Amino acid sequence: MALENFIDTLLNLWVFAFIGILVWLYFKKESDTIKAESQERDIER
Amino acid sequence: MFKNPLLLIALILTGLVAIWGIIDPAGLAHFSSTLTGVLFTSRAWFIMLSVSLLLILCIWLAISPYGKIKLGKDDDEPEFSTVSWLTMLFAAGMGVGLLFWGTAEPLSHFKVIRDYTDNFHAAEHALFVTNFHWGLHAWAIYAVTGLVMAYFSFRKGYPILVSSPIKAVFGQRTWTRSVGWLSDLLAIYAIAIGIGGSIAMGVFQIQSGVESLLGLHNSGLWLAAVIFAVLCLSYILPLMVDLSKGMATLSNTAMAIAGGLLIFVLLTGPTYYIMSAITGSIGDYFARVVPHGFKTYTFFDENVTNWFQSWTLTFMVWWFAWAPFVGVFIARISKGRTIREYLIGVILVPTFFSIFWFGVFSSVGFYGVLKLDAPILEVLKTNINDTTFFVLRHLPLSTLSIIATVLAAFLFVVTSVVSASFVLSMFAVGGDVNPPTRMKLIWGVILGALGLVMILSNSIDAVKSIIGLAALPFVFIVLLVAVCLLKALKSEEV
Repeated sequence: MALENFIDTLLNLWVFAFIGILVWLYFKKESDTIKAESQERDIER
Repeated sequence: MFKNPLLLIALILTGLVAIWGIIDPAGLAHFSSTLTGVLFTSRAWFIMLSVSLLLILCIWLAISPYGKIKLGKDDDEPEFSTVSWLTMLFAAGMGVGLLFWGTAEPLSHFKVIRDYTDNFHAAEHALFVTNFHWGLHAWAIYAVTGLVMAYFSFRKGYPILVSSPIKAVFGQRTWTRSVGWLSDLLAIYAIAIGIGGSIAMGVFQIQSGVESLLGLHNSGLWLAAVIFAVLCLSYILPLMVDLSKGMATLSNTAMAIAGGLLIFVLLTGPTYYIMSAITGSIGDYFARVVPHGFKTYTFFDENVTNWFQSWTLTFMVWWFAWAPFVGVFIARISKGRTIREYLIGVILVPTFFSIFWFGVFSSVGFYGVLKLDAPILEVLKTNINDTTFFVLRHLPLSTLSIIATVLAAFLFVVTSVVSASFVLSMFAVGGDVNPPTRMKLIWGVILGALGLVMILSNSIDAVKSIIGLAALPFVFIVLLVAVCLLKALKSEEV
């Protein structure tokens, strides 16, 4: 039971960390270089 | 070709699963079901929350100003007429699964649910749960994956790869290259295992049909091996020569046969009963579908939680396994459509079709169980693969309808394997839309080997758990690329 709980905690910690990373990535400001690269592609298009 | 590490590792990974399954099918099945059980217990909430959020994201994008954005240049027009586009969407969603599960799935739920309520409510809920598995949530997974690929490919000019959105939004950095590479690998792995499962399901279905036609009982693995060999021979030729038009014809033929079968069962079965069930199920489905997406059966007994894991969770991750494959297909045919048009078409139309399909095939089964006391539940217990044929044998012109089902299942599997080999080769060579023939053949062989593994497991439950295990990591990738899309949309002027 203790091992099951431990594995369950580990698996869910991974999920919580992943959700945290997603939220951080969404709000993170991208550098001007990346924006310029993306705009360049839009212009090429 | 083998200088490409992605291809090499993908081949080794899928090849190892195939070899393990051929040497020790029972061991692989046991390993997958144990691990899937642990992962499903811990992450049921996350899987259900993810699919519900994907559906909410689709609804929000469709009604938001972003819905006006075109999947392509602003002056691009759709490549296909709306009718052809919708027909092709049907073809993508209409696989061997619907033929296999049409009657078997709702009746399997009925068997469990009737222990907790009366037969009539159990039948109603069984149909609702089946529609839930094949409806809006399933198509939201496909729709988001396809939308991300179409947006970054046709509007931003990146190759159609799962990794493209990550590199496009966060730039070419060490972590984006690593995560992108891993995403492509997981996509290849999920597609390969998912298609292997479809091959097995198709072979089980065809085997039961042939047994039914020839009056054989428990033919065992020899008949499955013969069918498998014929299937492999049938898809090798289309992989060697460019038969894109021929494949479209085969796919349309399979669709036409399945459509004909649907109408045949509707008209020769208890039509009033079927139509009443469909009407009721439409109301029931749309009234309860969104809250049901958050349901995890936490406070129920082990019997119910096992049922929830082996059906709802397995189906949801199954859609994730198919998402990169179906997503590429939907993306390719949707160039020039707006996000709103795309989402409405991709989510609503196949859902209505599924409701109609399961309404017809489940009602015939429920009519047999509830009104005629037919032993369908016994068939379900002893040989689930035979359920559809058992129903067809009790309708007129059964020989013809069974031949049609076998033929449709055969064509669906052949077209799926050919298309999957193409998509896998495309992913493995960095998004090139003309992958080399040799590469397609290699994937054809690997898919065949994976199909053989699932056939050797000789159990549809083993197939479900092997696919579940392969697809689970892809849940994370779909959420990540969805965030990439949302981030990219922020820079659009709407």
